[in-house]
Amino acid sequence: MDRLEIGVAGIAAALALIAIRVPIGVALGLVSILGIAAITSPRVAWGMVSATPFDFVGNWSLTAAPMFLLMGYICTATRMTDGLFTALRMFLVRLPGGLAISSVGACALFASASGSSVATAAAMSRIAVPQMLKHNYDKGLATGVVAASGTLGSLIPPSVLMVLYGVYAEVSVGQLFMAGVLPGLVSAGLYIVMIAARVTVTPALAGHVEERFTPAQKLDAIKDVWPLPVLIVAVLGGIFGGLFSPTEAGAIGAFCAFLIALLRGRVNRRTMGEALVHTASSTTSIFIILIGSIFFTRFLAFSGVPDAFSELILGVSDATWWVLLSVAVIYIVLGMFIDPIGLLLLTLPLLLPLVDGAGFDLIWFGIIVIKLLEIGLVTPPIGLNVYVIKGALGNLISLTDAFRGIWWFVAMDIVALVLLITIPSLALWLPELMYR
Amino acid sequence: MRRAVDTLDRWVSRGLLALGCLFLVLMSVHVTADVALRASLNYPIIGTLETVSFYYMTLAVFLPLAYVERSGQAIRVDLFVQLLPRSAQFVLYQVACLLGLLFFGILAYQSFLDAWEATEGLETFMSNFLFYIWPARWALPVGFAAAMLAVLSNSLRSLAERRPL
Repeated sequence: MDRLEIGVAGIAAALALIAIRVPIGVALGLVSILGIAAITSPRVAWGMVSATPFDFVGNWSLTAAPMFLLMGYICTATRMTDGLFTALRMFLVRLPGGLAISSVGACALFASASGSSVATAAAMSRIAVPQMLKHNYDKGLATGVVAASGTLGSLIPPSVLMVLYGVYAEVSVGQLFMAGVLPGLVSAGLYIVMIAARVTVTPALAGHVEERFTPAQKLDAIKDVWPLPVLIVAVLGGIFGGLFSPTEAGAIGAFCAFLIALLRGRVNRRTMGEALVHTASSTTSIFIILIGSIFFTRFLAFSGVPDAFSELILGVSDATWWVLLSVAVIYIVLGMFIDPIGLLLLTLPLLLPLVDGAGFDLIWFGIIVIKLLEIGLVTPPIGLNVYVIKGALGNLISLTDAFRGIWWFVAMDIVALVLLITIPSLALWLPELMYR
Repeated sequence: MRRAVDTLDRWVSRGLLALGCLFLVLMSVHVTADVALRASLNYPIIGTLETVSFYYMTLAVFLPLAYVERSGQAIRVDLFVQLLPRSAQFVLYQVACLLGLLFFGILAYQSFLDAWEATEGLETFMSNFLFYIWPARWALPVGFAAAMLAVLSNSLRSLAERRPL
């Protein structure tokens, strides 16, 4: 076998191992060690095993990942979002589908205080979905809106996916954060317009909400809204005001979230223990894939597969639409089975040489990839966000209902994606403005 | 035998998880203090970047490995296996455990050799001050060996109950 054949066989073996439920990090790591030993020599493979894990994890930029996770988990464990949703719905109750629109708004705001889509969906499902079901909202709409709006968590900064992509593709995490803002807001806006339009055409979708709130009630609700905006201003204001770097922002955000929880009297052994254990186990499970994926990158580089793959795709055409279509097909097919972080780390070794060869802006491409990964987060059969909501609500809804409601939102995501591709400045305008 | 492995694993994984959590807290506090002192008094804490990257980060990432394995939180794809009969799932689970033992075994062995060598040479990090990094190297063999223990414990439990975990 020549090295290219070993490379292709390695990719097939890794996918096969992943399919038989071998943990993704283990599958990537083992295949890479054996593959490198076969292409070069066992000595080179041992050299990689020796150097990589310590050198890679001891990386200052990557410290942002656990810290943004911690910030989000502290917000979730101390229920920092509840007040926000309650207040939003009081003010938006008159709009068609007001409760669903409030959910989009609350998710978008929570997204800027959390680095993760799944955390955003989990935080909102416990409070928003039961309220919508109580008012006879269509079950698909009630769950679909939270599953889809949860994906804003990775698009609106801060975002753990962006930290990983930035370190991997060697582009500025700060610029990626800026680049995600407008696409995130556009996605949220499209969801809102779609909800309002659908409910106007079919009012039954939004059940029957006849609530009146007195000014006193509204004033009372606003009192519990402050934590999230304060946290967002502290974190994003600090980054974009130049007070601290995006890397430091995670640690500061986690600390601020703790202080806010302390002020609200929500700090106790249970909430802090929950936040820390979730953070530690998410961090470790992400990093073991990250290490496997670094091994895999080395292995693929030795095999020459990424170059051959680039030549194959670019040989057909180097038109932007063709390259992006190839990328999209890979993400949509694999996104059905593999969770976003695993998929991002699995595919970047293959795709970065391709898009670099095609001359794409890597910031813009990063936002497109994240949007594609987020679509995978809500589409069957894996649709992790949908399972999270189902997990939080138990028998209140069926998976069929939940997935049925998602298609309208996926359609809006595709519109957002097309806008992002045809108007790159949607992503690139803000970073260019900031870093000029 | 199975009981003993299970009990040992329970204590080891919990203890290391607690340590990992502690370093997450330290990471947040240390960086915040550094930024606050830098911004207010123009007096940054020397060595923050090195301490956070080499110590807190490696310890927080590698120590909870056993807990992640034990609690079944390693990221896997369940979809295809769910379509198979229970007995096949059981066999594949044992295969996955074997591969896990092999992978963590390779990493534990090599990182142990590296940590040993670094300790003998009192390894430092190139900086404008003396910064020892050899102790941080031990997070890897400890974490990987504990992960092997957790995978072994999972495998034995699955064998005893004749079902995939």
